[in-house]
Amino acid sequence: MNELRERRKLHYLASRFEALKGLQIASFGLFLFCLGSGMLRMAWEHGRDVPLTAGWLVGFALLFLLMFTAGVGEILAPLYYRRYGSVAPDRRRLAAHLLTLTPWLLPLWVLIAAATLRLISIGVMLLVCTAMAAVVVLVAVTWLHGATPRELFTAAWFGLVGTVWYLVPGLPVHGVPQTSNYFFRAGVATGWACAALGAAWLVGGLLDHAVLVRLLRSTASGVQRHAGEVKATEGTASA
Amino acid sequence: VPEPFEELADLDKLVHEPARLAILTSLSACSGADFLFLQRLTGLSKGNLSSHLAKLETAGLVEVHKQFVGKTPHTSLALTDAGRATIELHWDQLERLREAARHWQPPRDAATTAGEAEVNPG
Repeated sequence: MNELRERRKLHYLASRFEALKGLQIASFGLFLFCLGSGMLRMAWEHGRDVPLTAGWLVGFALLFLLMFTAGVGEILAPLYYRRYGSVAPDRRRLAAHLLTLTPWLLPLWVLIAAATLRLISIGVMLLVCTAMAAVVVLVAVTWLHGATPRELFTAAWFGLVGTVWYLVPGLPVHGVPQTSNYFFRAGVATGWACAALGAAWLVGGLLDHAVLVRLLRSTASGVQRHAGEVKATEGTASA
Repeated sequence: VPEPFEELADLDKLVHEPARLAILTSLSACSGADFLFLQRLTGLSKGNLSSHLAKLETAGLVEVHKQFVGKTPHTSLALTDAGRATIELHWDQLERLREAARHWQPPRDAATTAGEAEVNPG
């Protein structure tokens, strides 16, 4: 009954193949980590008076990050394709994951907004976050029904998240005051969030890639071993 | 033949062959996959994998789409509805067999006879 043990591995590999291409997410994690570290340093150096250019710098850094990640993705995707092939993911499963994830974004952004900008209205932030979550759900639902191409969905997702990431640290530049406490200063919480998320994605991506390679080797050797056992059993039976 | 193992003979040999079982199982967890992925997954040579896929296609369990991506030929595969039903049924059968084998005990008289035969081989 070795097949029963292999079944879980095969299911895992086929259903999570896209997620296991970890080098892509690791590259994104690395730059997110760098961006977060940069934001923390900027907030530390400039104190309460964040210069006008800082918000633009964050915006440009984010744009560069997105373009770079897209570029790295363009390089890594064919490498994965040539080396490991491709799997068409089960759309319903992926959309279900995204829809499950979306509601968690709402309190997360409110928390970030509350921590970084005490004077901004939580109600306004809640409204913005709800609108953002609604758009993501809408795009996810249309994608689920095959109306939206995957690339457009990904672009919309990153666009929305990028906009919020730009807005939150950039708000003081547009005249919204902030507290004197460093840990509640604009950009600090977002910086920590970016750095932590980036580190997690970097490590997680590398681990995912290692799991992909290991599992593919394991299933291939398992199939070969089982085929050998079947042949041996048939040989014994015929003898 | 002892009762729990009678069902072993009923297993579909087309599906139960290890490489084909791996192919069908992995395809059941996604919408489709290409030839290279299945080759990496099973560790089979191109010829062997083609042969297994041809058998599955002939049986109506998988459908094969061949196209060109740029100038490179690309073969993608997906389970048919019949293939999906067959592989699910097959795993159900295997699960049942495992449960039956776990609770199975050899009949008392057969075990005694076997024990006596061991003590007095002549």
